Amino acid sequence: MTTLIGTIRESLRYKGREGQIAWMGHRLAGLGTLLFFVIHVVDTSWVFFAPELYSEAIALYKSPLFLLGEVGLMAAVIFHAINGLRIAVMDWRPQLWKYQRQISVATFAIIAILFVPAFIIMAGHIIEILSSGAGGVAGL
Amino acid sequence: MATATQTQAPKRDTFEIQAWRFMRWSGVLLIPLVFGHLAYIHIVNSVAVIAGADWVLQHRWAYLNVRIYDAFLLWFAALHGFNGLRYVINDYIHQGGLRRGLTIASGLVLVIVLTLGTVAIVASPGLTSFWGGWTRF
Repeated sequence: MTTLIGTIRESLRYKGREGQIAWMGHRLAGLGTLLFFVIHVVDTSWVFFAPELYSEAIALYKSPLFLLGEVGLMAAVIFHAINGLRIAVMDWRPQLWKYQRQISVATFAIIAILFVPAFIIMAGHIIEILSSGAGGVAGL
Repeated sequence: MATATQTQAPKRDTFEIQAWRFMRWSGVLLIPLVFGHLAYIHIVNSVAVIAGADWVLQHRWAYLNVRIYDAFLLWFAALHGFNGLRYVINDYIHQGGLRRGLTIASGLVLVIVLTLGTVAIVASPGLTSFWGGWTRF
């Protein structure tokens, strides 16, 4: 546990700029996506194992907190996918390493460009769901 | 006369090199798989259209192509994700016993997730068509 706290502290202190931000973001987005993935596979398996429980899980996904989480998940996946593509390309073509900073900045720009339309469309869905009263589960 | 001598045994890829390579190609493959899934469920449609288990059986898993797609998504996302988690555990947890315990525990979760997901995709009733599941609700 001390190594974990030390790692977090030193990661925040270390001035690694774009490359380090991309590296930390990749880990955080990957771990967050994995956590959601595990929950999502378990609740989807209830279609077969426990259909009534599946209805409750879907009602929870239509609550404000989970709708917000859905937008965060979209951001995490876009970040992890595009930054992961950068990692694969850089490993494949080491002659690009001298441009690593510019490529990292370009990667952030592509992530932002992809996220904006996704955010606008998903915000539209959220407004529709909440105003139609379909957003179940009181208090969330 | 000089003869060429082999100074090294032929190299076989270690598990870690194979894992490293797997993360690259599975990651590239997951981009169309994951974005296809997100685009259909969350952009073209939304979670509002999912009515319950019967809805999934009727509008998703009635079609063989959707079941195959979901199976690929499940297996590649699970193996890619849990191998990534293994990297994180190895990087941050240095105590041998705790690292071993967390690695074994995460491996168990991986097996449970793959089992639950695969059984649900394969054994769910209502498979009626080979091709479909592109409706905009």
